[in-house]
Amino acid sequence: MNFITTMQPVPDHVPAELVRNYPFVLGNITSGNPYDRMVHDVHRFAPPVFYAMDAYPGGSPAWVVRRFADLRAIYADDTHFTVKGFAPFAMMIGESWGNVPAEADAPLHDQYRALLNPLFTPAALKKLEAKVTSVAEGLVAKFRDEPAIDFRAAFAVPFPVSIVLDLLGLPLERMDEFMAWEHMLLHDLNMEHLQTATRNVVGLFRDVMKERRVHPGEDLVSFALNARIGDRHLTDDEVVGFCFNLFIGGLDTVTTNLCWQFRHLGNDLELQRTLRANPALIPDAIQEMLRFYSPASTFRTCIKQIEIGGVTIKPGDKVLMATLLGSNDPEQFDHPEEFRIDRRPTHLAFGSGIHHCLGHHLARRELTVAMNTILRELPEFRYDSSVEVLTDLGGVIQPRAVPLLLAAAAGSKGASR
Amino acid sequence: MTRITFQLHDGTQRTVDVDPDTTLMRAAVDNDVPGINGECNGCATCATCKVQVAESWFDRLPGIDEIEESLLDDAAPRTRLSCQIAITPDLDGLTVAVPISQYA
Repeated sequence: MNFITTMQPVPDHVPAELVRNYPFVLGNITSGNPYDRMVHDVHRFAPPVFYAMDAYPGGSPAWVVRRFADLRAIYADDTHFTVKGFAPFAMMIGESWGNVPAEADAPLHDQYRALLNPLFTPAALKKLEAKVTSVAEGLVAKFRDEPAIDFRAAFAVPFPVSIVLDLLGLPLERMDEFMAWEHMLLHDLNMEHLQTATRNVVGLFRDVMKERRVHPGEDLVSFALNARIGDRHLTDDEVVGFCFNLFIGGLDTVTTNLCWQFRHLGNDLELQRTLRANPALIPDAIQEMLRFYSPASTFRTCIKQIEIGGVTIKPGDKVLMATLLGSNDPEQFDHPEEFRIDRRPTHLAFGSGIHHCLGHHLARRELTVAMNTILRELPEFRYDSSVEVLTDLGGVIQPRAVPLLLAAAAGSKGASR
Repeated sequence: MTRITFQLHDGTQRTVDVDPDTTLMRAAVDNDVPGINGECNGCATCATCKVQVAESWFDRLPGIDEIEESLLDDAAPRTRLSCQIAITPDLDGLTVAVPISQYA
């Protein structure tokens, strides 16, 4: 069974000239770097708000809003938009939990965040610092003498995933299995795969919850089981939603950013040299890379009619929140196609407003530790452009591999973008 | 109107007159004061609107709650999140320094 369904007719309130193709839908693949041209072409050729018939996973329509200012206004607007049910996972398996806190509106959302924010503040994450660094160093030690690696498999996957599995108290030995589920959830177009993966992840957490009720630990599942909102505990569905949210948010997004960041460094040897000579610039470089390569898209559903950029959006309409578009909007950023280390941009990679990514301090810390460690431990590396690499588009834009030539081989083969 | 002065990292100053019913972060972003990002748009989660408050002003500001405190870990002394400072008439003349980067 394929996930693509028959196209629906264009609704009456959608002007025909606003129906456009959106190239970044789930299921599309590119062999190029989509941040070189594709993302900028959307800004060049499409109106500020347009309607794509297949923008929502499953082949149903959604509005695409490409301007930074409009996206930021929607992130801040819970009068006209809801986050409820933006992800199809629970619905696909006939259940009704939502991702916690991503799919909750205020005021419940604010209660969730009051509970969860303290877990992910810089102060709370400090005790993870040594662990994060030692995971990074351990992975680099495994491949430092290789002539060439797939950086995605060698580092970008195992590094953040080990840390999140540890936080959840899940066994590291099952990483490959979990990653296969994760890949089916976020990059697979096959409905049966999506259902199977959702059931597997939910089943895993229900088992873990059962076990942790009896033997609580220091992990986040145990935390959620004991947590209170006012005078009540979280329901089982809320704990499942919280775990599922961490699973889809914590395993794939840092991996994706690492892939793009090290592909970029492998192509920009001058930047590599600058950062090696002055590691204090690494956080600014990462901030600009997060803008340049913003990978994630989410959705909002309209609950009250609103006009955006002269376009009427009606209750029930889905709106795509594509961070890659907002972060590369030429009306917001001077020459967004240029990487500028001193830009220090306010981008949308982590969203904005009350749903601004819960884990972004952890993500930033992981990205900084990764770049610090690798630039310290490895000599100059290059991106191997002789290898064809496919990139999956959709909710998370991720290359399937990052072929890097390490010092031993870097001299013999040229590298260019 | 409340007069606020931002000292920028390059040694220059920006003075803006601000209406009440806003925050120091909003005042900076709305007036294009460079160096203040406010990525989460004032929800006290991102910590990208840090400012350093002049010594003479620090104790006159509203107190720091637990969440702000935990976001200011390792920050320089007298650092505040500007989104947590509501503009009131008694802040007239407030001076704050803006760091070169919110991400260092």
